[in-house]
Amino acid sequence: MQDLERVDEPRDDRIAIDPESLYRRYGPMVLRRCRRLLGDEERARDAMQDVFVELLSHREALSERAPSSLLWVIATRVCLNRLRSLRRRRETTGEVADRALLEALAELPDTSERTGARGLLTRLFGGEPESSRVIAVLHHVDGLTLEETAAAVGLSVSGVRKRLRGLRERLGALWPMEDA
Amino acid sequence: MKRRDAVPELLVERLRLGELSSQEAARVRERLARADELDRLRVPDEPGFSRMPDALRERLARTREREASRRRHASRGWSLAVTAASFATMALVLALPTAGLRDKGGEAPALVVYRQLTTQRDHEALADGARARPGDLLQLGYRPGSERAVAIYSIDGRGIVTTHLGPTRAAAANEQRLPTAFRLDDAPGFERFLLVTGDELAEAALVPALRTLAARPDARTAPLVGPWRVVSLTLDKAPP
Repeated sequence: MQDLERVDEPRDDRIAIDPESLYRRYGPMVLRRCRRLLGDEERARDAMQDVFVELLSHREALSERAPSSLLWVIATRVCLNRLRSLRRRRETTGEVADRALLEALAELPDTSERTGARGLLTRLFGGEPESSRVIAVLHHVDGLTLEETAAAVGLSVSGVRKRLRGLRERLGALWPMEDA
Repeated sequence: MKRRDAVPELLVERLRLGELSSQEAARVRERLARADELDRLRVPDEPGFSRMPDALRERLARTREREASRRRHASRGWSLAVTAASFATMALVLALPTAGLRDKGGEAPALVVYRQLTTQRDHEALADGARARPGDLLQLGYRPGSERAVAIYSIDGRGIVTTHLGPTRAAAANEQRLPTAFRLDDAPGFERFLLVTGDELAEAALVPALRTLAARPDARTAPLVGPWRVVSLTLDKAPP
């Protein structure tokens, strides 16, 4: 049996990001994404700014995923949370297929925004795992394959499948017929 | 239901940004051409992105300051909490009967793997199937639920078994964190953590079962056979 290595020195390899250049390059993409999901220009612009603020908390992931994919995922989550808070069912315009599915996913609790020990415990012992709603939007609303979805969120394909299975029962008849 | 033959908008955006490999870009262009949707590559200019708005710049500055402040205040709290938890766990095991502490609701045991982020103070809980890299600094936590005994092991893609917590009596029903963190090594494929619980656990029975599991070609998903309950959480160490 291998002895467990005990480590005392913490890592501190913070990823440096330049928000200004990321905003200039990816801002239009993020705005289009938010506009598409929210169907309202003003709300889309607000959400777009929230995405770049939230990016600061995800700088580590920039080393593992292309910025466009990471920003797309963050924008999806931000917009899902906005849809839930707005509680505007079938009132928004927009070119998103499966609006009913999107809004149902938005209603599910997302513990990813909580921070601190309590949030971590909540994530483990209750509520949906982080980003399951986002995974469902990427696969069933956006149409990404399982492999493309996995690459976008930094999970394995089996991990993505497991997340989708976990949501299926909760959404019942709204869940797409094609199995993940 | 989104048409499976439609080109996802994320791929179109990444093509516009030049973030696809030449092969991927060619495939996406071909799909768009087949669907007569090459005009999706053209989008109107979005005004207002030549520079970041001052309001957003200020929000980012405030967010950075809040994060820095939180790290400063939490810096003693994290290490103290880990130290206190380990002492508290020892005290409870020695001084109190386990029956008085047990969660009698039949609650299921749970396992959590925390990964340190940028500093010792920031961390995230990893889900089953999450990606991990050699050198990632991890800390384990568990909740025994209504079980009397717990142990935590891991097996990796090389077939190596590691003890994280030898069989011990479950001191309390709430979450316990192991007092030390550890770094993932460069074993390929996966690192699978197993929280083993039951009425009684003995290494004499666990070790052979773990070695048998670790030697299997399907060690990543096969069950740990024996008179115990297992919660498994696997990290994917495959290259991106």
